[in-house]
Amino acid sequence: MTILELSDVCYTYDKGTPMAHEALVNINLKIEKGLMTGIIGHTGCGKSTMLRMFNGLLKPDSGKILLDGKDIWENPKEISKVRFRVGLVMQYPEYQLFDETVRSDIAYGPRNMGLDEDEIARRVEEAASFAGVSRDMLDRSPFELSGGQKRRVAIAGIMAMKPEVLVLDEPAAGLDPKGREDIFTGLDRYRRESGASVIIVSHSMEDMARYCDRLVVMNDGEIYLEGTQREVFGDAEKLMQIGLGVPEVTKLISLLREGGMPIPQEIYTVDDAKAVLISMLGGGRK
Amino acid sequence: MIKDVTLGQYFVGNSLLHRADPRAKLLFAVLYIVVLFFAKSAASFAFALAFTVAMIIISGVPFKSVIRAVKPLAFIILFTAVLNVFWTTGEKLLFEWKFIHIYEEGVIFALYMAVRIILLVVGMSVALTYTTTPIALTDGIEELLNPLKKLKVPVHDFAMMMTIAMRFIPTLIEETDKIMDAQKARGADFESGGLVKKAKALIPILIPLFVSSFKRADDLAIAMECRCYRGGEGRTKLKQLRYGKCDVVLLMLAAVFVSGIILCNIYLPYFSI
Amino acid sequence: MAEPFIIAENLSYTYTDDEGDSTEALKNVSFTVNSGEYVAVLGHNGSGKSTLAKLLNVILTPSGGSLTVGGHKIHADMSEDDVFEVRRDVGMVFQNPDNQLVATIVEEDVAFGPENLGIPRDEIRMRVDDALKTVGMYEHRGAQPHRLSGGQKQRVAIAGVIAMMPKCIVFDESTAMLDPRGRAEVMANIRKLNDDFGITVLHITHYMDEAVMADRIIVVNDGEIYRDGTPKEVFCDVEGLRRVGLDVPQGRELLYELSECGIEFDDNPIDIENCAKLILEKFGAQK
Repeated sequence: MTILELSDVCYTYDKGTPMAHEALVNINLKIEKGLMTGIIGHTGCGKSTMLRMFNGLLKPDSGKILLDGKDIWENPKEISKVRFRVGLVMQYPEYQLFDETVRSDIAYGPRNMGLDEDEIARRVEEAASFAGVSRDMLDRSPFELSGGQKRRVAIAGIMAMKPEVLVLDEPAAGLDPKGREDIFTGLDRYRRESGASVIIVSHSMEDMARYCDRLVVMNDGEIYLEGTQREVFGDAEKLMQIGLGVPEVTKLISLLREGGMPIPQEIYTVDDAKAVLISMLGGGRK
Repeated sequence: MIKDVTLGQYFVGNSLLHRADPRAKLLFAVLYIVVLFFAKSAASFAFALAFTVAMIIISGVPFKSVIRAVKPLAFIILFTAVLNVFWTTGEKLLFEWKFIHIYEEGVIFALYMAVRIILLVVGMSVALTYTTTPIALTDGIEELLNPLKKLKVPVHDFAMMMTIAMRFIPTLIEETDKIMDAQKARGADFESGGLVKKAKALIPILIPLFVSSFKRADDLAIAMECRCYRGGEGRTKLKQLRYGKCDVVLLMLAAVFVSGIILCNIYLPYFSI
Repeated sequence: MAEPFIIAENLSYTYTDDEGDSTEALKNVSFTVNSGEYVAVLGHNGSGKSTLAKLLNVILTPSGGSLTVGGHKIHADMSEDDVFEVRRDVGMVFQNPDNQLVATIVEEDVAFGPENLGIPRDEIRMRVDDALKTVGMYEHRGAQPHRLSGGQKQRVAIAGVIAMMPKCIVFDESTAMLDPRGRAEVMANIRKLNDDFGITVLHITHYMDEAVMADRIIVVNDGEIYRDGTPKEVFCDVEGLRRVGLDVPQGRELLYELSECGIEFDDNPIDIENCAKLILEKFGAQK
């Protein structure tokens, strides 16, 4: 089922000036309920503009954004309600923290929603658990935390609004492998337990292959490729043309196929590769 | 996007005023201001007006933009003019009603004052801000103040501060944009409510902005130290300002302006104050 | 014969926070980096790798042990002139591209270091132009830094360091905030500086795919050196690296996983070409 839909969306920055720059050209996109969608593309391809369309931070020049079938710009005065339903975590969100304690910072969103204090407290605890913010962190100042911890607090701040669609712009940027994994598993848990859709922008094909159900590749303000992992990674050549690649292990698999091994093409994670190769090479134990 | 607001509203161009050395322009501007205060007669003001219009034409800056520079000052100009009209006493009474007396001198004085302020703003904008990049302006100020170094005035540090400020203003504007978007995504509302509510709504923007500015300052200080920065002493410079033909022309223009005003004051003393 | 440029013996550093609690960021670390070497320092966030970088440039001074950089002993009581000498030899490129450019114009920023060194104007001009050409930013010399991409800003920062003609450059997570294109640009430049100019490079990172490009990797964990060797040697120990919170290249990971299931290989390559070769051999032998 579709939760969020972009239909013929166009957007130009500085329209009507010599600096005009077409950021989005006729975007048509459907985001499915309950799935994790990955958005891939180079800096300047229009990703960030598109994310700002999802929750009404930017208004399209033409075209419609439908949330649950309803045009979000039908009543511009109600646009802030859309922002509670489509939660956007910006790049390096740790720079938005401001309150005295982690608890009250996470509560900022729910408080803006006008919820009562009991509900806010409940949501803060719940979001903290999803995002991997430990209980003892809640009463500390967000400014004493490490970079990775701050990032998780910022993500919890959006999760606490219980958005039906959670959008994140490079949630793992700059984090080490452990930090990345913590963020992604938290997002996966949020998606499974709340039934929300999650949209992430990432540059890591390996992460995309591991966590995303659907992929959207953008280039020059247009949707370049879109579909399941097989549909997108299957077209390695087309990805290469715009300077993007496939996961390392997929490259390895194509080398093996070239070398004559009858392996199916669609392998994007080490685990899948391992399973296939064990059956072919006849592993011993387990 | 606000990041594209040009600092100091510099207009790209290649006019005489654009090409002149910032030091020459600063000297020119100082002379222009001083002489403007010596203008006394209608003829001197007319001359100053004509001279300024000529400057605008030379600079190639559109008249519309020049007017825009004056607009925010309209209130102050009007206010001083009104004040002058009512408070200046003289010999020729034009109008009288209860305690209000308006003299001809008052009207003339008010008019001159208004023209003076307008010319001041326009002249400064055209000679400096519209035709000089902020960087060139800083360099010019540093060079002109250089002799003060002997008096232990920290000229270099001042110039360094200006440069860093100009380097980071666009970055901070961009950052403010981002933080505003981030808080809007959390339901922040900056538009509705009274003054107190609006001021309160700014806290989630200002605190992150301060925190990151301190971090930036810290990072930058370390980066500068690592690049062997030890203040102005023993430093050389990549660029040196050089006077050229344009500067001679500019100083000639200044001479014309000075003598024009003086001559008008003496030989055409109509409506003098 | 290569001479040692950095010598650390039982080097330690202890942080003390506002409440007086102290944390040992580096514990009795010993290693040597030779002139002209390209070494990656790999470790997760908080492993102590950034502390190491800061010691090399006298931003911090050792709490214990000894550290010699380019013949200068680093200690807390160094004179300002000695610190100056070390910093002239060891350039540093930091993480945040926005927070290390000083001037409002690219070429003026590159000139900042040489200006501080008091180099004559004509030579600064030459150095600035050469440095900008080396990093491929010459055509942007008149640009304002805030109009550049992250990768471009980092290249300007690198040019600023090259123009000072240091013997060694430390990259302190200089790619962490960049997109893949920016990272590739910076990595290509690091390689070039080492290959073409013989500059000693210390690249501090948590990306294993960047570390494999070095000649040697020092893995830091919990303030100690966990491994020190060629990329191939270091990535041999998949289990151990995972334990200290690091990734291994996917090809190596796959071979390791297979060997865990009883499919043994004779070698531990890290690049996919050699991994594929080994698997194909195995497959061929089996038939």
